[in-house]
Amino acid sequence: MAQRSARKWTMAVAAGLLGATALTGCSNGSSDSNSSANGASGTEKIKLSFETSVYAEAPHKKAIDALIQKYNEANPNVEITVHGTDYENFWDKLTTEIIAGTQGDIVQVYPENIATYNALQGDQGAFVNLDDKIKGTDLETGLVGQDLSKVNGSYYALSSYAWGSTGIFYRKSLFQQAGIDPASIRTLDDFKAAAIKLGMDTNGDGTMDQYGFSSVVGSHPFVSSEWYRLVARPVSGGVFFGDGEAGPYTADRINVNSPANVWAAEWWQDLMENPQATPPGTRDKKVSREMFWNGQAAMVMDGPWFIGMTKERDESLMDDLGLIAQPSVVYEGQTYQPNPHNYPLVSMISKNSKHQEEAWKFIEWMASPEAQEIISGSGMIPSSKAYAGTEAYAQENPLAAQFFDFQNNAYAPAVMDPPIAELGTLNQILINAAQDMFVAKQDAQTVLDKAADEMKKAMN
Amino acid sequence: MRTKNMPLVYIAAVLLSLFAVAPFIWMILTSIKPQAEIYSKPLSYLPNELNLQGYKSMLDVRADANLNFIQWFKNTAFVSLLTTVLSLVVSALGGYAMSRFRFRGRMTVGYVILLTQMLPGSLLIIPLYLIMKDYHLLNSYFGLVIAYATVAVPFCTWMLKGYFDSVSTAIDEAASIDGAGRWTTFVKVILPLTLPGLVVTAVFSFLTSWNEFMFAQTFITDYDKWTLSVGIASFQGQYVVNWDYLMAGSVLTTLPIVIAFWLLQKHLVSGMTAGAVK
Repeated sequence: MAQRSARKWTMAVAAGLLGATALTGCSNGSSDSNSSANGASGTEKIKLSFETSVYAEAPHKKAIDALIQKYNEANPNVEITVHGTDYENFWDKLTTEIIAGTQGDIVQVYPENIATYNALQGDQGAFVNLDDKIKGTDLETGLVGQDLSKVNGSYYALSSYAWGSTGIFYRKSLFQQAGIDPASIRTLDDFKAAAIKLGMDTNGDGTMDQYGFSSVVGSHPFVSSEWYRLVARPVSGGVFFGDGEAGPYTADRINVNSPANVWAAEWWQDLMENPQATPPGTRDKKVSREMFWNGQAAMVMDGPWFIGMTKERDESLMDDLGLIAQPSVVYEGQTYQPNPHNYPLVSMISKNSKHQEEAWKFIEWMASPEAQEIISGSGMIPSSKAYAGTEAYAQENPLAAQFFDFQNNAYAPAVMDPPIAELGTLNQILINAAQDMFVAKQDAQTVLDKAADEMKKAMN
Repeated sequence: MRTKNMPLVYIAAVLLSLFAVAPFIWMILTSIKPQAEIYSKPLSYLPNELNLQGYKSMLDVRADANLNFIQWFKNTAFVSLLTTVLSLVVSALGGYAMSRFRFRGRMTVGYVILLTQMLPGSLLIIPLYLIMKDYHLLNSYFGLVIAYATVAVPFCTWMLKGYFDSVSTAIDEAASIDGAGRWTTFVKVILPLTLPGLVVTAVFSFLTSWNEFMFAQTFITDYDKWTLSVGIASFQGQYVVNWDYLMAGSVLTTLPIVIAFWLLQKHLVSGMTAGAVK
């Protein structure tokens, strides 16, 4: 009896093992997410993986799929697969992958992410130094955002996809009704006066139903970024370090509570508290945009992607969509040019990639006119100055071309977030401070002093 | 007195039910509203215009379709079913062993198994990822099944131990007198008696896998291999949320679970109360 039982147990275990083996068949042979590990020999296809945070967005997905298809037509021996997930979770996934060394052959990020993610593999870095391919070539000067793709003076990414900056979108009809000439908005004070004038009770029921400017007020990161990109950075030079967020990045150079930043915060609080200028309550960016589209807000701060979003939302709104540059800021009798953030999506090559040269060829090809034309469908502005600076592009994309014009004529050089590993912590401190100032309406000086202490601790 | 209070009880029950189903009703209504109405002020509860674009996009099976919802659905069903089968087999054996066999360290083993449940998933993600990488299980369904089983098995083992405890050992002894060995007793006598418990455990395991996001998002890279939770999350972009897609996808994801619950409710109720009275 005992023997029979033992035999049955043995059979059950054997069956279990057999089942597990069969299940293993369900697994992907090339399970390593860095597909380049497959190696290439003779006629075998070269496999590259392209990892990006924007693939979940329909216009980018369409553009990236079309890019790969076009590239494959000319290079049938190269197979590129795209890896991506929703924007919020992309960064955690990328962190895990870099720690494990399984990141894609090509990883697309924003310039401020380069230093942080490169440092996850310690001193040797997770990504390839591209100095020998970029320095002294046309790529160094011909691509918007290329100058931002450096860490310690070396290039770690190629800005061959697209970029965006910010401006003030407005509803032409609402400006006309209020008798405001958009060209007259040159300074922040003009902007505030227009916002107040645009706020009104349109149906006469005694309650406000139209506001001048819909800003983000809430827990969304834009609660701080709209403030510092429109008001603080032009006058203070930086909310983290000053002098254009330049190094050396030491605790004693923390600039968040400088007099100019405190003034900027008080100015923004004043705008938020004005019942005509901005709507009451809290809202994230999505609500803010909807208010603009619904005609409840006459102005919104946004980037070139907003043009495509508006077109998708309601094509008839396009005729009513206008764009002005971010206004200059007058502080203590001096006028400061706007210096808004630039958002180029740049591509890095993984050090673990076994096909670094092929990866480079692909990202370099992305800067070509045929690739840039495809990229223009993404809603952002193609990076090649030679392509996006043409008259043909301006005629085809008049609003997007305005951004190009702002960048060249109205804006000072973009002030970018500092390329340091502590940026995530500093950003969170600033978001918390912005919530205290603009949602909880606490005293700006006190809040920014506290934020400065926390930032100094983080830097130490 | 009891009859007098009945209307109040009914009113309370209806209110509580409404409170519970309100998010689902809102999800369904939002899934059929045009984008413009989702944010409209004043709030519109019922859609003025029917918009089925979200559903059409989800169920679009053309090769050039913008989404792979059907594929994600198949992936999720496959992974969830496999996890359920694996968890059930391992947990039933483990639970039975803990319930019936008296061996040294029995309870210690039990508590160690339980201890694994107390670790947050975010703490396990990197070690699990590294293990998966070493065994070439990244970007594979089997890797995901293993990851899900690590979460489901400990809890299911304890659940099933409880159900096995509720079956008197006299039944095992009776089966033994009739000539049945341990395995026969377990398969032919005990398992059928604990069927409601097995159903509850299977449903728990299936639901855990069906809804799981973090492991799926981290371990799976290919777009075609995503599960529903990852796919639906992708409708939230950096700058825009496709609410009609998001809600239509959520409705379609919830629907099979609701149907499964409806079909299994008899077993579920009896399973949940099994062991309550010995």
